Amino acid sequence: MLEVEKVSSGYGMVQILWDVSFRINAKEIVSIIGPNGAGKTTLVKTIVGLLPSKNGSIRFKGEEIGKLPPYEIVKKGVNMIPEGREIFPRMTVEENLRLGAYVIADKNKVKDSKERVYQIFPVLKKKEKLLAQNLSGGEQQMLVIGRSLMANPELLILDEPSLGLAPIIVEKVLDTLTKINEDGVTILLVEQNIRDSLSIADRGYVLEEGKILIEGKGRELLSNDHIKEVYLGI
Amino acid sequence: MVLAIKESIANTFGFVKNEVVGFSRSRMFYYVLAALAIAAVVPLFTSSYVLSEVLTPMVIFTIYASSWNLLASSGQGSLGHAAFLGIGGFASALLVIKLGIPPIIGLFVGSVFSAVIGLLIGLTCVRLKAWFLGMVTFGFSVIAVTIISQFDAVTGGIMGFRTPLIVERGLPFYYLTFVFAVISVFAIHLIMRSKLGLAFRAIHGNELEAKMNGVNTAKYRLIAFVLSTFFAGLAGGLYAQSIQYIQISIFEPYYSFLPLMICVIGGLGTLEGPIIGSVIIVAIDRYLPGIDSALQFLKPLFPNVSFVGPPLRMLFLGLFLIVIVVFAPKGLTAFIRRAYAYFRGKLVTVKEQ
Ligand SMILES: Nc1ncnc2c1ncn2[C@@H]1O[C@H](COP(=O)(O)OP(=O)(O)O)[C@@H](O)[C@H]1O
Ligand SMILES: [Mg+2]
Repeated sequence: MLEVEKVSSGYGMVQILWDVSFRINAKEIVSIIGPNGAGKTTLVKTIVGLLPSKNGSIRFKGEEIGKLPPYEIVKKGVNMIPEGREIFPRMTVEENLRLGAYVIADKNKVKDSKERVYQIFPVLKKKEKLLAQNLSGGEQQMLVIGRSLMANPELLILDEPSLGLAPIIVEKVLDTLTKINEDGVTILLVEQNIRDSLSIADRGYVLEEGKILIEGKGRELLSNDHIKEVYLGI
Repeated sequence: MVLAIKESIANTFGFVKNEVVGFSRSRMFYYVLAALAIAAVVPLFTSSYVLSEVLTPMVIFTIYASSWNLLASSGQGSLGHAAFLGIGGFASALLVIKLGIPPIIGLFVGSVFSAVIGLLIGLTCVRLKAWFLGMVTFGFSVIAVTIISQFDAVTGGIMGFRTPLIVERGLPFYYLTFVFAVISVFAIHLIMRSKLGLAFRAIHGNELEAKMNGVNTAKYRLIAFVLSTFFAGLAGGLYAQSIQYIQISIFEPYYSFLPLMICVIGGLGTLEGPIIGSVIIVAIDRYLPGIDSALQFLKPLFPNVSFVGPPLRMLFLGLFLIVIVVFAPKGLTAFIRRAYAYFRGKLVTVKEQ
């Protein structure tokens, strides 16, 4: 579904990513893990068009998207939840969701998506008229995920969704992601939280210093020597 | 029970718990309508001085500040909005004089002209971040005044010229501006409630998130700017008529600073903020000079200052601004809403007991 081939990218003169290649097949959960500063955020920003890729190609469902602006990429069915999962605090919960469906013109479709999101997260329906700033941290995470589902994405990219959340909530978030995946949404999970993310991932990649170092099946990676030594401290 | 009632009030008015909600609370809109009704009746009972020097500018600056507010609602700012006030003023008057079209058409075409200039400027700097646009418009306001003063054969140069009127001064002109203000404020209200307004607010809230939700931020920033320059041009056309004379002083930084001041005092990002702000600022501007002579008794304190009135007056105005920003940083609108909620809440509590 997504093919990233020899992509290099960075900020101005500073190159961060060096010939990064990986792929995501339809309906998979793929995790990209790596330490702080490895270039994970840079990579997802490049995929969704926030940063220009210097060379290589990024294809979504066979179509080159490397040069498209973010809003075109969202229209194609790719949605990214940036690091920090920021909601629009001064908008109501319902307005946040409507914004998520910005690229969808059909009002009925928007309504259907909203119903679906409310089904997944009933608490959002209960609080739909409240300003989003009144939600708890966990609820805000639900809102952010719900909002990204409003655009009916085929590929959902999450940049460190577990950051700053209590373990019990992280578990809930991962559960939700598994459910969303079962509904047919392909997921790219970018995480420093290796154990949790690899436990739900079909496959995983390790990104270090802007390069893909290791590739493997989700749980199997947990017994990889390098990962054990560097990340799990065993 | 008490809590539930308080909650419901808070929800109805959109404050206390929810803070200021801005454009989305329909209830507030009826208060605006009530204010408009007052604005429609009061002029019938005032002197012609008050009508043309106080009430009319209040109404025109409401349009002007609303245009600035619309821009601010999309996360942008302009430090040279006087350029569009001036262009609207000059264009609408010149079109009538040079082409002989009816003044009312001139007003409309002048506003469109201002928006076209806005579009050209916007196109060159949509890629700039937030406040850089503000600097660009400031630069443009300096350029505009230079151009207009140099083409004196057409523009009257520094002297300016008399503006052709749409309707007679006094009540007819007041009601004309009033109708335009109602239409403008209502139009901006509808814009902010539409999908377009949702995009503006998203960009204002968090540009990255807006992009990630599929908003073409450059496009919507440009749309907000063009809409804003249209309404600023409209205000300029009306203002030129209200003072019957247009000259390059309309480009002065004072007029660029004015909408910012009005919006901050009234309440940025709210429908009623520009209205309240305009009423207060124009009232201060017109009536504060009256205290100049009253302040003469302080003269012995300042033996070296020949006129104590004006500087002291400015001192008060400055203090007033500081007090507002410190004690009501979200503007008087939020302050009034909150006070209202507080007292309503108290009343309900008392009844409960
Ligand atoms: N806006 C930026 N400008 C310049 N360098 C940046 C910027 N953002 C991140 N970097 C650098 O890029 C590298 C990778 O950062 P990032 O992609 O955020 O890593 P990760 O998400 O894996 O923690 C870091 O060395 C960081 O300092
Ligand atoms: Mg990161």
